[in-house]
Amino acid sequence: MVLLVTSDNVQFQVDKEVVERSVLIKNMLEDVGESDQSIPLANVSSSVLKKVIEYCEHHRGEPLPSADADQNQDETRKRTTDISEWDQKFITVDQEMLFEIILAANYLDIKSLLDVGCKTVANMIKGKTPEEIRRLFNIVNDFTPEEEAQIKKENEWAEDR
Amino acid sequence: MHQVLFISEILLEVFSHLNPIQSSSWHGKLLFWKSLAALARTCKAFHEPAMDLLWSHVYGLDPLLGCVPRLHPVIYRCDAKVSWSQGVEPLSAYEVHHFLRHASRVRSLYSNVWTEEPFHLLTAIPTRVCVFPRLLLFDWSLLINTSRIHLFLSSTLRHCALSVVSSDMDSIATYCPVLEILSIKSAHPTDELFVLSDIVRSCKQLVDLSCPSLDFAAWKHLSNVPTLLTVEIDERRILHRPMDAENLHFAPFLNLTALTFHVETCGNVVTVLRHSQFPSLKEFKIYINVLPWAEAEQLFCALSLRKACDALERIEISSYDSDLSPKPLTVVRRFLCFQQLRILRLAVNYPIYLDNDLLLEAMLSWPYIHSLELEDPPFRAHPPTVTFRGLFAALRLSPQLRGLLVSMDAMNIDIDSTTESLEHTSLRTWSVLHSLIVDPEAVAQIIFLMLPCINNVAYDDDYDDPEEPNLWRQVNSLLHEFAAHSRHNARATPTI
Repeated sequence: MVLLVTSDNVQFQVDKEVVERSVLIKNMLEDVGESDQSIPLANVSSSVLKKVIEYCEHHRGEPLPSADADQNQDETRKRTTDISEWDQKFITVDQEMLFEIILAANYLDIKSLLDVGCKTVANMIKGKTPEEIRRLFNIVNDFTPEEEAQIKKENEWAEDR
Repeated sequence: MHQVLFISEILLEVFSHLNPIQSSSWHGKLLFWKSLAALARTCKAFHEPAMDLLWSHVYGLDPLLGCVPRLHPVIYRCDAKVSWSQGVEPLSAYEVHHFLRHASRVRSLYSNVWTEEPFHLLTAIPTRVCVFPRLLLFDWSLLINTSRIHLFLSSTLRHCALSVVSSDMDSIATYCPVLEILSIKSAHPTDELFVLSDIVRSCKQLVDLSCPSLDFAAWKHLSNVPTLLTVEIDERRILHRPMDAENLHFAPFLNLTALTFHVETCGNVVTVLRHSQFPSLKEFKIYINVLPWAEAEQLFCALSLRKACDALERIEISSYDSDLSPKPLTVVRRFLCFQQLRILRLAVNYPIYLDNDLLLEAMLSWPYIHSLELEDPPFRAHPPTVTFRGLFAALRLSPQLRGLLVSMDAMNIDIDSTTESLEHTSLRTWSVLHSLIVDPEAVAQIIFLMLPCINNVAYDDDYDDPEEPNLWRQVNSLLHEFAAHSRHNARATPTI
């Protein structure tokens, strides 16, 4: 078992096999060797880590993408736009939690979880107008009207179909 | 705005799921393009990554020309879009800057299906200027006009597909030193074949080559390219130029795994096979328009030289016209040396010699075979001699055989299916071509008991007479009856 400590100082005892789906933690454990030392995760809160562990538990034993995975493998992963039923259900959370999971997956280096999160965000964006995207993610439009018009003009081949 | 949307690596990851190249349908590409265009206008943080992806795969030159203010209204407002460039003045030096505004983002450039590209507008761009410095793929295979092709020859180009040979390409290797995939559909037989040979010989890192024809010098060069994996030659529209077989010396094609030919006659192929070795060749396919009997034998002989290509797993040979020789081909015996063979497909319009002993020997020699197709012409001087006994003796040796197409003597019922122990459960498709039968019930019984996965036998019947239906049709009806009866019995039997 491995002891993880979150940013809000909550401790989680997790199976080594489960926690090693994180490349970051796997490398840390390899560096430290056999030890009872806890691993502090300063960038991950307890509510987010709970979700991350739930994901890793469910995918326990599945093959991990190898460190030297070639570009083709990466492309294949990207091309599989469908999200599995379980993952879909798992990632049906509010937007704040979705972004926190993505941040945690990125920090902990869990490629498959990052993929599920980013695919979900991409699906939210698909087919929306700039104004709809801004509303969705609470983004301020920092273009001047002239700048925006110029970009629209240049990209008309992509919009005007 | 959540902090995650300021992290560029995560933005790139999100946007990569909107990459149009991922969508196989045009509708999907349009949706992705539209989404990326919207992202590019959403905010400054999204602009660059979205633009990079949006402009990475471009169809035709119109998107780039649309960035020129003078041309924008012409391209996007004109009703007759196909011919919008007729009568339009070429770009000025200043306008070239607008044209090139997003050129450095382009990674793949495809010719547009519907239009001729307006190359005459680009005369202000100096010769040998690299317009697309990050271009990886250039596919102009739908267009015949290849003028000013040098604009697209970037040092990063890995994949180039063209419809015709262009004299502008003579120095392709200088400009594209890492070119790996070259595909050229056709060449004019009088002069362009020499240019093609020069082009091929200048490429040092080719992996896949597809082109109309190769001369001796080009073949010789390729034999020394260790990166080469596949070659496909389509010289059907080219005047046949026999290679001088004297003084040919090729190096072994060390890593070549697939060789495909579409040819008028197979003379040059035989020459190439005879003068080199292909130690890694796994796949050999040839489609020949005219194949005289003697040339067919020469081809089989050249291919089966053990030194030539003994790693072959797949052989496909097809021809359309033959010289009506009644002599059967000896191809099966010649190919016994290919011990790795998985698939053998021969459709050459000549009878292929096969008897019980040879079939048995073949199955002994090809332990991995899973598809065997030996297509005979409908009228053959000698009837087929493979019988049921011979067939099942051979099948015992090849439990993984999934597809079989051979003529057989199905009139001779030389096996008692009720006493045989063999049940071949892999064979799923079986074609008997024009084989004749006299006792459909006995044949259906044999198939039902010994080939349980065959529920329909394929047969050729060019002259199906409604008055006297083909007896194989009766075999198939009986197979369905037996299967229905068997299902009924299984349901009726109570389980314990």
